[in-house]
Amino acid sequence: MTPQKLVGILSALTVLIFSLVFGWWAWSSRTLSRDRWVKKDLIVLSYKSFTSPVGPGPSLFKEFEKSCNCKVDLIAASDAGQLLEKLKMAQEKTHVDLVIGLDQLQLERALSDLKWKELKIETSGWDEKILEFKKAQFIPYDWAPLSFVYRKSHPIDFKNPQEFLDSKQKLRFALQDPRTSTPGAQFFVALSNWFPGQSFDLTLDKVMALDAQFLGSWSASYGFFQTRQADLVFSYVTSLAYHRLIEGNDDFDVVSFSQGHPLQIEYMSIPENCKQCELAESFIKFSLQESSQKQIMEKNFMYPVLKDVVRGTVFEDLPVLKILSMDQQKMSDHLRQQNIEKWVGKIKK
Amino acid sequence: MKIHGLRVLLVVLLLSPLFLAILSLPAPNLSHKGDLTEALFMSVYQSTMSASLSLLTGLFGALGLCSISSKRVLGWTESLMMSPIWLPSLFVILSILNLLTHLGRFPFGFWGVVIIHTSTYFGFISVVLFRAIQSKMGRQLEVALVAGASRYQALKWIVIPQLKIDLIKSFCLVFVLSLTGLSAPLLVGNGISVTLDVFAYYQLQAPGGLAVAHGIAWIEVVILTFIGLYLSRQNHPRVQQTSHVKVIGSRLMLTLSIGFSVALIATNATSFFKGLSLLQKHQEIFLLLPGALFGTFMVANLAAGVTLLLSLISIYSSPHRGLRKWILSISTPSYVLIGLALYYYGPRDEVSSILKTGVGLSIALFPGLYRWVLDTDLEGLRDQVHIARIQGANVSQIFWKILLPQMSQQVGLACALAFLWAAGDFALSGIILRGDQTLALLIESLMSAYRLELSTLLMSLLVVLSLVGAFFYTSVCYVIGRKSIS
Repeated sequence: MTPQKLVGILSALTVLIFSLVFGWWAWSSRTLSRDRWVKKDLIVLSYKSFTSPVGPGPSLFKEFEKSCNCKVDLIAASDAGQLLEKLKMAQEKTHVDLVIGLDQLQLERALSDLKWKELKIETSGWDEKILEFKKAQFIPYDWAPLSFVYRKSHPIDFKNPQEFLDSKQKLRFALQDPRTSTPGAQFFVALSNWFPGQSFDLTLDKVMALDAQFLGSWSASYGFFQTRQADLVFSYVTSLAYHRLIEGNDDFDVVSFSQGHPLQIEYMSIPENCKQCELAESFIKFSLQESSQKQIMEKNFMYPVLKDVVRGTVFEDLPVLKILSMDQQKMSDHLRQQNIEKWVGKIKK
Repeated sequence: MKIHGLRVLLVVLLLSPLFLAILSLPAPNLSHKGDLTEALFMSVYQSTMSASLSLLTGLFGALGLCSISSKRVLGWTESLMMSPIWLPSLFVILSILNLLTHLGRFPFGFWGVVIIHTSTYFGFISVVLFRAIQSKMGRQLEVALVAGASRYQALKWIVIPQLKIDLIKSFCLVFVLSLTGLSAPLLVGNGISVTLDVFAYYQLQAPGGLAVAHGIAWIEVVILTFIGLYLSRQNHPRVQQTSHVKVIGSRLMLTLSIGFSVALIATNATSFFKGLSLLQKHQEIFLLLPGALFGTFMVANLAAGVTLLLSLISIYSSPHRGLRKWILSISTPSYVLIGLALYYYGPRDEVSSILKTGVGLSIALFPGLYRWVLDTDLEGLRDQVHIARIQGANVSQIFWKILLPQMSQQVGLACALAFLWAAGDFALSGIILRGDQTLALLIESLMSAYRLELSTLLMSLLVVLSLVGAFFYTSVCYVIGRKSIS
């Protein structure tokens, strides 16, 4: 066989394979009814962990599609922190009907930069702790307090924030960069609440003296902790549920400070210029049903907003931490940015 | 006319990401001058250190490879040493950290990033330098050592002077890879190591950040183009012979290099077995695997296929001094820019996304592959083509009878590398595709959802799949080469 023939055969084979694939798609679509093509598209913007195959997104969207005669089209941002910018870019070319995953630290900017629809959602059966965090335009769908997660087999010697900073124990902390990670930003909120009478500069000096690494994302920091590169990680209390439920490992615990802990709440919201606004609202209501809340809890490893869903599950037995009130957690974007800049100034030294 | 048309097509294809970026992204914004200057300085300083250390350790690794006489053992050792460059960065970084923390406290920050880069690229540089030593030194090494020269003298007077250009090229390669790398500074930079890409990443979360990221990508394009222009002047054809380089081989260096690479992989063994035990609790993975495997297969084959096409066009259109110089000096922008440009341009359905990813990856990879895999050998054939032309051979005869038979193995290597990198890509695929469309993205999703062990398990599957694909392309091109000769 000449090389010309061989290259020719290979090219023909490539074309054949592609023709078969595209032909198969065309063939499999032939029986679909006309309705299949006129279905409404619900365009959803969310972040990767929610839409990941092991996250709650895929199964929720699939179940919703069955009942709504619609198709959920997904735009995924790599991090929750990029949702607002991705939304602005996406809106230049198309529209977005629903945004899933903004957290309370992003709401101030979300409200100032964009317009959102006000929603009326029934809140009976909700956890009381969450009610005060609900806004007219932003509906919480899950939440979890944040603290230091550690291994019981490697106990720690501090019980309050002051002892945490003054600890003589040689501990390695996996923290997150507050510029790129929401838990990282929450840690800074916690610091200003844990040491109210102390200047933030002084608190930062003490934090910088710890053996702490500021990693770019929560997943990287948790990976460090899992591979024992760190003794403690700043994470969700509900992280314990993953270890207990999936790994059957009860060796993990969280630090409990009587001063309180920050809370991360994730929201669903509908931009003002939505096209399938009713469908988007139906999805929000659907995701607040008991069965959906259970899926969110078990796949996102966060507490559901419906209080009763945790009953009889591993989430019911997780440590209950005192939570910082909304007023305590409230910090303007400007002040938070100032604190981050102070930290940047210190790490550069 | 036909050949001119092909040359224009090649140029247009390689420039297309830049056109798309201009068309689909907001105008570049470079207003943060102070921060940008600082990030630029950090990027250049860090990349210089990473490149210098990689070169030094790579040279030792190359001496280690010189001590291997069996071709089969050499092949396996080369693959083992190169493994860190195409495994996911988080996976490699955690392995390196696990390994190095046994030796002492890991220095997070600037030096941490340099260590991660060096550990990742030293194996690849070892192989590049070893190949250069093998093909360039001729019989001089044997003669020198028979004449009584010590290994140090041979290195100082024969190896280093003749490797000068390869050393410069390797330095530039690691410099470029470090300059455009995001994972290491983001993960172990400890907030201090703010390089250009890290700064762009921070900006992507701020209002108007995409315009800033776009501006940064153009700064990188300018830097990379200068490096490319410099490199395009630093070349001379490789001598097509292999010599007995065992005489300068060092078993100690070989043991250290292999030991490090094996230890890197072995640190994940525990996670692999834990992943196996977790499989029964994650039955949904089995449902996702066919789709992810299909996606990987499509993206990697598209990338390898388009690389094959681009390689054949570039070979068919050569020798052409202007085109060669242009390809050597062109540099594709960072993956982030190509990814964003392709994502925002045109339809975003599943089929289009896969097509965009495969084609985007091959266009991003091709200039590098041409520079490092095809160019030297293609230049070595210039005289043969010249003589054939004088004797009246037409372009088609030159391609089928002279160029293709002698270049087929290099083309196969280029396609295999494109397949390997495309199959394991997170950066560009992560922007264009959804989280479960390829195996690499599925692994990344699992990593971001506590399942580190399970992702280690799937990583092994990805490695096997990648090697099978790479083997397929090298075999096909080998057969084409053999058939052309017979």
